[in-house]
Amino acid sequence: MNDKDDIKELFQRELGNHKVQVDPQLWKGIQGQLANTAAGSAGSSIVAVKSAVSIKIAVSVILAAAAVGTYFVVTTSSDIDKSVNEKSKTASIVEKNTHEDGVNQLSDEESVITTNEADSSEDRFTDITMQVEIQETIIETIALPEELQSSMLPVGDPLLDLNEERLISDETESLEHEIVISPLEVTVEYIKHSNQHYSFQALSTDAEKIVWDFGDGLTHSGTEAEHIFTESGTFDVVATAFKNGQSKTFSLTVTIDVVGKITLLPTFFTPNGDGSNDEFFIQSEGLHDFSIVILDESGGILFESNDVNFTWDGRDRTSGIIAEPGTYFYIITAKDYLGNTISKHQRLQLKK
Amino acid sequence: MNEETLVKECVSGSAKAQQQLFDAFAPKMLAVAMRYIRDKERAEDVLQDGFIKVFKNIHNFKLDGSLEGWVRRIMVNTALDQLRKDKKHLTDLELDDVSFELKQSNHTEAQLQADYLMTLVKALPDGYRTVFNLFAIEGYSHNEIADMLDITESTSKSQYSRARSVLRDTLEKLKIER
Repeated sequence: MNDKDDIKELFQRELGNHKVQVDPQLWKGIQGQLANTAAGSAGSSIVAVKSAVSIKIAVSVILAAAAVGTYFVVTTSSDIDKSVNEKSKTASIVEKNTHEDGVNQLSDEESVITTNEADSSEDRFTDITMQVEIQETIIETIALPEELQSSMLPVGDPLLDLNEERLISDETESLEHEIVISPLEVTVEYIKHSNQHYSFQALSTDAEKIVWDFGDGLTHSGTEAEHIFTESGTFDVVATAFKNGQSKTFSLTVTIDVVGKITLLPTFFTPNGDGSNDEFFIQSEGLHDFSIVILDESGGILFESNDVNFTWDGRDRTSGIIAEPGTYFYIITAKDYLGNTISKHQRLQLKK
Repeated sequence: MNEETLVKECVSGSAKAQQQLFDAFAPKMLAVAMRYIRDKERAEDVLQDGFIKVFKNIHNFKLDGSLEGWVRRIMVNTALDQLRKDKKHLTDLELDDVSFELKQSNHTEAQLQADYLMTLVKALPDGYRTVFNLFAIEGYSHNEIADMLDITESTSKSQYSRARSVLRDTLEKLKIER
């Protein structure tokens, strides 16, 4: 499911090869510096861009934690189970996730498997392998219905030796077969990056499309979603999976608490020296890491401050002259003590 | 002079070749620097520092690669170094609730669109702007960006998605033709 990134396309097309006129004086500066260092040895290091090895780290913390606790040697042979049990040692295992899992139960010291929740997440797990300490593992094998047994891969001798590589590859292959038979389902996991910022991940077996409603009036389409909740409150996040005209929803609730706030954000001021509204400032509560930038319409910076109690008298920081009447805008960013980000963009009219 | 000859002459220290290389790439590279560094004078400093690195290291350039791509990478890295010096926490600036407005202007002509988009990018806070530039325009992956900025991949993704939503909102308001 690839969402077309129209913003990326637009900016790359327009700005990728954008040119700006260069002041010829700049070359003279370079020449001067090159001449100064010409006798020295050539610089040795450039920050190299490392070639990217694309590694998917899409699994949420929650899922990974579940997988660590959960294990899974699933076989139809009780002999194998026994051997695991007897050897009672470290084994490298690929967890295997099938509907049949529901009938195999294995518990170790910290978890009892509940496979229903994991059913819809097979695709996230396909490439996870991990070391699991099996200590006094009890494996209860419940008799499988005939047809389920026959759908499982035969287990070869190498498994008896708990040969790591073979076990991994065998199990991984078997996974690919099992995914297909799952019905349309969707569950949602999330990672909370900060109070306001969530990454959501839909775990759906085979949906064609997933649409998100974040409960604050905003929506998104795609298997993954990032969302910033800007207001305090409780929000129902609903993911709807679509396939062949069918749809299925999954919802969860998030609670957001934003403490810091800006209580006064003026939209105009009159730096004419008459003693009334001559300075621009804001009022706020509970903010730190504060920053404000005031820009003119062409993006030039007139004023910058990191002081939440700043005042601006309208003077351009470079010329020292009070700026012309007109429209300016400002960007404020700050945090509250919970780490929430608070920011405002607003127009500012300068009148005289 | 073709690119290969130009590079070879630069390696041997020809001032003429160096100036020619500078003239060929500087306008684009200044635009690159200005996307990372808001202040024009500082962006010009980055341009100069970047080209000095280019000339000092041009013997390392492999002729089968893209010269422009190589110069651009040096420029981007020089800009990132500058940002790091300026800000202890490059990506600490985050932003939400985004609805900044630029006055609706008459920038409808195609050649002005790029300048206008440039202004929008420059108005983004440092953290957003850096990730947006690296991902959307320079085309690095989130994985690479995480490495370059010493942040996590998920931070890179979230900074990018926030920057994108700021820009999308703004463009919708300004009704810039796409």
